[in-house]
Amino acid sequence: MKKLILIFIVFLLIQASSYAQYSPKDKFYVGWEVGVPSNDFISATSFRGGRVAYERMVKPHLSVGLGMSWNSFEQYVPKTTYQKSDGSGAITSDIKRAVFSAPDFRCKILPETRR
Amino acid sequence: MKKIIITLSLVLAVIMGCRKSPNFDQLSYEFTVGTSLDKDANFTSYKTFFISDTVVYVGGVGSDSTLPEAQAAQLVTAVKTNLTANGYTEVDRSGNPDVGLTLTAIKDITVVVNSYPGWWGGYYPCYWYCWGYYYPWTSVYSYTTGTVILTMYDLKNANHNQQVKAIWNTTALGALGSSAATNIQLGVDGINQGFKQSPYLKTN
Repeated sequence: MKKLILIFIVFLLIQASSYAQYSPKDKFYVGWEVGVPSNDFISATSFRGGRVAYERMVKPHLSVGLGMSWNSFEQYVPKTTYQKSDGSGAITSDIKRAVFSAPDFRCKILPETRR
Repeated sequence: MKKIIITLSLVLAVIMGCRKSPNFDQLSYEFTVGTSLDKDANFTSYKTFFISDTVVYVGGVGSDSTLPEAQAAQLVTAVKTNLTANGYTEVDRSGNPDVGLTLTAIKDITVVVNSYPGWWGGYYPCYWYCWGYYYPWTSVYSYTTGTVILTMYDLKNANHNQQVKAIWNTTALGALGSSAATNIQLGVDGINQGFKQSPYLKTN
């Protein structure tokens, strides 16, 4: 828990410093992301994720940005016997499942009001 | 703009490079055990078995080495105990057994060598400003894996089929330690698990 709080504070500081670079034209985001998977392979929530993004105002009400998020999922599955679907055998082992996802590399166009 | 893209790329590169490797310490040292069977085989039709006291050892000295007698006995006893508990009767080689079983143990050593060349920058002799240098270094590590293969052959129908068919197999494999006793126990546990996950292997 202590570790979690520490990570939260560190990311909060990073977030604050990123906003310090704010200018009316350019924005640079650094954020902490928590991943909650919804599949059969991994069900453990990941706190090891983040997001970086850049946005630039190209028109008074339009910004164009590039962002990327990532998350590292990990889960231990205790010793289990898995039967082959065709009934021709079985395998028994414990498993470490890991997924590193970095799916969100995209360009985005957001309408935005300038102050 | 160019600066921002470069900065962003560097940040991404650092983040991706710092990806945490999965923690494999949680994994147990027990062998992974796989079993396969001939789905056409009627296991309840076999009543007697024979298994040799000799266990083939691949990874020893020469191409025809066998496991030391005491170690082989532990593996063979595990097989006999499981088969007997499932209703099979042990007979001699000359007693026309319905199935015959063979045991093979394999030891495999994998050696990994990582080599990093050193570098030196600047010029010699340097009076005013010198770049750093690194010595080249090499890391070597090895790990040993073991495999126990138990195969059951159909001898009852060998003449009729004009072939000796393998009807059941279990393969147990995993990392080995430095203690022979522990390694053999891993093999015994693997054999026991193979029978456990094969409930069809019984006489009735």
